[in-house]
Amino acid sequence: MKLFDFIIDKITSIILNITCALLLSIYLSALGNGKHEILLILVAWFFVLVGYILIQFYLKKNRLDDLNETMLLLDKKYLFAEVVDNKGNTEQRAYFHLMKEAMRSMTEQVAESHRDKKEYKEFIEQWAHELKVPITSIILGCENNLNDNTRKILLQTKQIEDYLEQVLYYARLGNVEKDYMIKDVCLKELVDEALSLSKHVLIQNKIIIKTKELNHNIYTDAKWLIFIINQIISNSVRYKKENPVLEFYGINMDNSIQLEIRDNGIGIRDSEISRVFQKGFTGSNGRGRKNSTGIGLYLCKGLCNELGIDIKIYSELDKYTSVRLTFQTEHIEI
Amino acid sequence: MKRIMIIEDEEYIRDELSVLLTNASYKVICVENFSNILEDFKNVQPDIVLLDINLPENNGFSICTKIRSFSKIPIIFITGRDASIDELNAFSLGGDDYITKPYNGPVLLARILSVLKRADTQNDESEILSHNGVVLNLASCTVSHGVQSLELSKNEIKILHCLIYNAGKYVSRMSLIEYLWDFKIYTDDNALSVNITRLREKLKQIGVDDFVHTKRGMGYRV
Repeated sequence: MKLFDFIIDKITSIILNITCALLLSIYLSALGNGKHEILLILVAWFFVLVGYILIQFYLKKNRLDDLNETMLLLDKKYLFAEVVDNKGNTEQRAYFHLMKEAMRSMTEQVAESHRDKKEYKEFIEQWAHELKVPITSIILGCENNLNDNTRKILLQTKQIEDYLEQVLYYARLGNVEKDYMIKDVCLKELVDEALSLSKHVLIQNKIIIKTKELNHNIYTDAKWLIFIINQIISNSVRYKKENPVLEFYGINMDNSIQLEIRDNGIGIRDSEISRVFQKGFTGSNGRGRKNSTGIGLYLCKGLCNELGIDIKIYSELDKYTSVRLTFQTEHIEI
Repeated sequence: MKRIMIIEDEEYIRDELSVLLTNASYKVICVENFSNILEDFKNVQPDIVLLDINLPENNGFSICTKIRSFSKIPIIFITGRDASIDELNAFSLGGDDYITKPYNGPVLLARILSVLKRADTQNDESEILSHNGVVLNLASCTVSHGVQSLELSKNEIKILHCLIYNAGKYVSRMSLIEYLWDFKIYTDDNALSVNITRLREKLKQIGVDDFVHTKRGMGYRV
């Protein structure tokens, strides 16, 4: 608060004071008082008024600074009205009371929304888990009776399974600390497991698989990483061209191991490559195909961040897309 | 024949598992009454147990603990619960493996086999197969006919194994590719043709002609 602003706020009382001083001077001079006496009274008046305004300003400013500081230190700002004491004149206390009411109502609303959101999230997770039972039944049933029809059903079931996994991992994003198990795992085993999960999709899309130099051990959570690899595989299948090839390379670098997953698919435009990890981004590749949700790579990026894995994507339009995951072998930070 | 006990309350999954495991030549015993699982267990004396976690009356963890108090037979958890804490629990209570739904058949079979192998050293699986005088030795990776014998590559061994195992029936190219994938051999259609041609040539070298029959649209048969 600046002094000038405060004076503007007090302008009515100042004008009132000046008017009264003028009227008093006129009255006093009409009674025959000398100019000096009147001037003395006016000067005294002036100083009292200025003193009053300055003291008022000082007190108000102190109070406001206090409040500002409290607000600054508060973590949850909406609890402001609960933590400051209510002092001041009747009008200020009334304002304060109103503010407190408004904030209490708002806090209740927020808490209710949080509760709704949590309940909904729990319901969705529960639902996703329950769907796994019939999906498992379908997969087992089809595999026990493999033929062209059941193979088609298996493909579609895999789609459902992928979407379901996305839901579950989306819910987990931001809560990794509650659900991971870092173990010493071999890159080859992870890739093999991911490939076996996508077996039917890869075979029926006639995708040639090449693996090289995957015998490296890394410390990570196998379940999360398999999900990430699976998402990348499923993107490669979705954006394939003729004679599709999918390659997995392990590269041993200083203090880190890199897994490169490279396809020879339709690639990504230069102008779009920086945005592929954004939520909901489907780009010109995705729009033409109805199955794109723009959530897969967003999840990969989020999960990689939480697991301390560096994920980068390189591509050339109509040539290739390469996703590189880099695992630190020293100084693992999560 | 290894005896597998399935403790799973979803009827459809239980039935399909039972078909899958019977086809893979296991003797399957399903638990249908969940109130006295331990009694059943003692009567059946299985070689391995597949155990779900969410069950009526008892949960899988407590069943595992109870079984572990008197038996060391392998227990594989099969469950829809995929939180790491559950997995950790399963292993610390003495589970031998933890498989989450949705799983697929070949993966399940492979993991059952590896747990069984770990549990006892004597291998039940026959390592020598033969059909029409052609003898396949899986341990030495050779095929022989009479006195002639020849070494085969990993892919050729697996293809021949699959064909002899299904002797008399046609095995489609797709099934062969899927079978090879289960052994982490990521072959494709063209590579399979090459492998089959090579296999035929090798069989010819040891004096076996026309061992592998082809039928258009059906696949291969021995």
